[in-house]
Amino acid sequence: MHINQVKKLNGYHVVFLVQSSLVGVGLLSMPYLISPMGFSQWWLPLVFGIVANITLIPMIWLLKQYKNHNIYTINEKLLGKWLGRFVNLLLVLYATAFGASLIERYLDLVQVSALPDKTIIGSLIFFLFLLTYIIHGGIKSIARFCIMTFFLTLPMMYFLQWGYVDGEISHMLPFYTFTSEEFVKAFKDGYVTMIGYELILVYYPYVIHQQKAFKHVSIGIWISCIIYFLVTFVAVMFFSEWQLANILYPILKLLKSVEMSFIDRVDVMGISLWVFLVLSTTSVYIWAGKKGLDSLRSNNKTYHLYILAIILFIVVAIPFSDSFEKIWHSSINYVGYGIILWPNLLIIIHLIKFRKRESVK
Amino acid sequence: MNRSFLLTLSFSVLMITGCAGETRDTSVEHVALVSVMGIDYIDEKNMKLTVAIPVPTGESTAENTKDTQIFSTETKLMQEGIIDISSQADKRIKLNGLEVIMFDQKFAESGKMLSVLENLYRDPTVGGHVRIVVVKGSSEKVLTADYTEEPSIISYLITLMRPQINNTYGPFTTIHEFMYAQTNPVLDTLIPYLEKEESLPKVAGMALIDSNSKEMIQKFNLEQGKLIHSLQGTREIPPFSFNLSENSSEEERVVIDLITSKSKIKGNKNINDPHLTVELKFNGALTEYLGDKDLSNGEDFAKLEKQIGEHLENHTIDLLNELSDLRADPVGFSEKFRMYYDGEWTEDLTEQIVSTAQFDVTVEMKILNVGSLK
Amino acid sequence: MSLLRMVHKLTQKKQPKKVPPAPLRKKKEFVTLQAIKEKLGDIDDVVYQKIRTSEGIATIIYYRSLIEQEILLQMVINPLLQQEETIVHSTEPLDKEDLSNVISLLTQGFTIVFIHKENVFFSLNTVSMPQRSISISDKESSVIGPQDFFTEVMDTNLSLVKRRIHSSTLKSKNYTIGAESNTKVSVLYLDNIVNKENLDKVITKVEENKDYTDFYDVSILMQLMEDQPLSPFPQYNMTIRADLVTKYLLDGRVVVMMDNSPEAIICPTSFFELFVPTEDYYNRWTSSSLLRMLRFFGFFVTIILTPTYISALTFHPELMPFEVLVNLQESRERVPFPPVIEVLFIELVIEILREAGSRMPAKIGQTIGIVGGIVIGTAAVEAGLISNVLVVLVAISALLSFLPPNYLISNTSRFIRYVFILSAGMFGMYGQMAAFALLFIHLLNLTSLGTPYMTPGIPRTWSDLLDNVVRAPISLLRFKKGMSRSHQNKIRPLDEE
Repeated sequence: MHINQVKKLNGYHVVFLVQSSLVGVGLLSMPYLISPMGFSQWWLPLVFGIVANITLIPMIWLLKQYKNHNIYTINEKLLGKWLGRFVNLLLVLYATAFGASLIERYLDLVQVSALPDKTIIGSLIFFLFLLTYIIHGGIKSIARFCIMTFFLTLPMMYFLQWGYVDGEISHMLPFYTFTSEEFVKAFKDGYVTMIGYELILVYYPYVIHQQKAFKHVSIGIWISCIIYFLVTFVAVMFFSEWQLANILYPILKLLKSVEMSFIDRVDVMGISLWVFLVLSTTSVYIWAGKKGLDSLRSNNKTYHLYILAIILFIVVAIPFSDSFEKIWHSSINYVGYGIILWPNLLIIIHLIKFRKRESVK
Repeated sequence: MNRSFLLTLSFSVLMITGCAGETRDTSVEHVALVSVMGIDYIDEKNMKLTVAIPVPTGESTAENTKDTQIFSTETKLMQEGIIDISSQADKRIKLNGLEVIMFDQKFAESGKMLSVLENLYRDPTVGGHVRIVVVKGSSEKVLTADYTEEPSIISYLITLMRPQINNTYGPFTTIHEFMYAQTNPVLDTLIPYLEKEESLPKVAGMALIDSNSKEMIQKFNLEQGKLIHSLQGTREIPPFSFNLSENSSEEERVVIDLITSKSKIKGNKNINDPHLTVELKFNGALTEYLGDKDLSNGEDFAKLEKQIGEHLENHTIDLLNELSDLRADPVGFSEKFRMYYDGEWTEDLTEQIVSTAQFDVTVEMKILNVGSLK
Repeated sequence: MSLLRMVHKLTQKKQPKKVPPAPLRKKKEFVTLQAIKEKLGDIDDVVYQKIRTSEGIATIIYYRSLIEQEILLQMVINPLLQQEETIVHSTEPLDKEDLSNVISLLTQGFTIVFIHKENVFFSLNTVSMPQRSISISDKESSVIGPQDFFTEVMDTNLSLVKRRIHSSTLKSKNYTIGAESNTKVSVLYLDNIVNKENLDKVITKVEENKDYTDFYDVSILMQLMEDQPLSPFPQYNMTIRADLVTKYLLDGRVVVMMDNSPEAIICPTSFFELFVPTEDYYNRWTSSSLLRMLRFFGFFVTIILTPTYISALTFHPELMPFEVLVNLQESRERVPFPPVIEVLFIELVIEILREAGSRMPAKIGQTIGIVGGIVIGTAAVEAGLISNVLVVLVAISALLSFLPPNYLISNTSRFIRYVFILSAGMFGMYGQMAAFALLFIHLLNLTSLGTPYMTPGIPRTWSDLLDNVVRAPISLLRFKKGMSRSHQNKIRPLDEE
């Protein structure tokens, strides 16, 4: 019914799109990423939320000036056709590379912990099949999948109970025992878990209640932040500082502590269920990448999606060396930070152009 | 239609790759899931690795009634040993189903436990509820001994190591808890100590592993284990039974069941002159009493309560003194100081606190009922 | 007044504008006896009977197979002979230029009377085809609630609905579809409640498929009307229960009925509504909530139970507690196949049994049940072909697949299970969860008449939650479903008390 309608995202769609694009693989290793802060890390997610909310302001302000345009067309308008297109190409590459790094990290983990006998190729093809299928339905279908994902995976929070019972609440004190360098390191490693809300730059034109978009995105950000906060809180209670700094996927260990009479290893279930979270996150990214390709080639073709899927397949399936992968995964985060800050630059250009036009008049 | 064609194509490609020539599927009956693992000390570099694998009983024929397969090998590294055992066994050895790891006392005293367990902890296929035990004598002997009355040593050990109220003489340390306590500077690790007497192995005490030297330094008896456990803040502990008049010739014995405990530990936040207030409160039901007192008499009853409290208090003080001498802290007293300490906490600070702390102990016992007789 | 004058009057008064159901092809052909005979050549049950009346000779033409002799005698022959006026009241003068109309009337079971003298044709409704009486059905049956079910005759079905809703707002628009069969279809809706957009969509979809030739059941029309015909899920509800149809009509849905098929289709329908029989509203809210949960979650359990067996045994033996594991190992020790093959084998056996049983007469069907249940089940375990744990699981999942009241969705669950089995066989738990994701993506993409299929899984209105997996007491169900997008939202005024 909404096929020919441009505006199709309701408020709750925006909330869960943002929420789901935040929570993904990052959460699995969040306590590890921010472990330079030691036990004091538990309140860092709240800081992340505040920072994310602040960086959101320029994005929404910019988007409100160009209500029917996404970041790609805004780039072209403000930077000129060729420079704008170049930046757009970078954005498409970023979205694809970020998606690829998420898929790779997740599937590697699945392979190591749940399917040691299988190669990554089969599960990768299955994953990409699902991914293209979601994106086919368009942004609204993705949003609906995100809502479903949220409610299907939310019950996993219940498993934190075991960690909470076994843990020591006294780890919350002292409030801070870190140096400023440790804080900076934890922040820049950990903020990657917040990347994802910048995609509002791409799907803003589809939002019905654009005036309320800021509120809805903020709600999405804070739902994720509360989840992050609860997870890090329990992780801090459950682990020692050495464990926080050395366990790559603390959530797995937390799930392993769950003891139920009829099922022994919740971690296998949990890591498999995580496919929903990874799918929802990557689908938003790859959708954004597809939109970018559409705008680069100035038409809207389905095979752009297949091109991206094939690129994803090639990138993930090629076994790069471990050190290269580490560099790739971490450098892509910095690009993400850059994109979060990118609207500020655009605003400056916008203001300069606007003033020029005023003076001409 | 084009789209659906592509979807079908990709799905069939997926199906085909799934069938591509990989090694045979490994279903349960082709896999040997190690349930219990024993590690014994040979010398500085070598250890003896023994694994016990449950065998479905239906498989056993008349001459082979064993329900457990035992393999052992001498090795330098854990995984190396596993590979070696794999070549002995007809099935693939997997550690996914590991439940209990036993170390012999010598190995525990040698201080190599942490490195062995760290490797297992690294392996994502190993579960989180692997319990760590120290055995007197050799763990291989525990596994290979002939048990006629128990169907399977594996299931016996697994149920023994599962937290149940009747055998909670101390913490049942899982691999996570072991790593946690070893890497946490405020804690020393306490793990169950098994002794195999005539037939079946039993929990005989608690072994204390020092976090600093990683070596087993002390064995506590069951009562001390229970006390440490209740100091750690456990709610329910198994029945106590003791002789109240230890010195006099006349015996006065009580058995107290259904005990719940509450502990409150407060520190004075001063690491240079540490002072700790320890409050222990027990509630329980008196199930058996041997002595002169008339339990229906309120005065006598209060006296008895007080006596039991004093008895426990003395034991607690003795225990704390012992810990202080050992410079070990399985309870986490120093956590009360770390919480307010600005800077990095170290193992030495813990030792300093435990050895210099002044304890102010009060133990209270409340008997809630004496059964349904008068 | 003579009969002929009567006929004259009628033909002069009413110009033949009001022609009953419009025939498909309109060609100008003059109606003559010869033309009719030509058209109906080689149909041996067509009867041309000459009757001598006082006004001259009349020929009556009819299909013997569609008309009972008694009715013919009562309605046509006797009145013609006796020149009673009753016949006049049921006459409809015919357009003499429209031959195909006459033919179509004949094929429907009308009798055509031709008065030679006046050269006038008129038709008499003598339709009296053999039909089944309204009876209790063994499908979709219930303990509480009305026991009258639809039959193959549309007029009977319409009367079953119309006697439940006495209102002029209940409209039933007739359409004739099917290029050869000229099947009658009726679209029912409550004018004051229905969403006009939905109604238009249904009518367009019905008319779009007008030229399709093979309509022999309404389910064919349903598949043609679906938004996504490739999906394994039925996108409309199909029922033979008059009370269910009434319930959804009152909620603002559009119902399509077809002559010769006992089912009616309800559009639009959500996924969840396929699990809701009307008996849920007759039961106490507590027990019906319990049964609903059982049915709804049973759908997911039935598709995941045997796949979990595969993934646990093939990839994740550590999932199970030690005791269960030893038990399973014991039960599987003699089975020579990997778990996937084992499961596929036994699932197929169950399907074969079910399919064989459903075709057989009831007496032989019982035998098949015994052969299947006892002989194959026990013997296969003893022969070491399958493990006994699996037999239990397969039996449970087979039973669970019969829980939904809608037969189509229960078939769907059986199909989906194979997708899950294959994914679990390839990728274990990950494959299973990914298959779940696939299922959800598909369900989320599905629409029924443009309305999302997963409503009220994702509620359209908050009041939908009251009639969800948990059914609130009837007194709280005051609102129409969001799915209907109806005009009137409230079912009853709030100040009813």
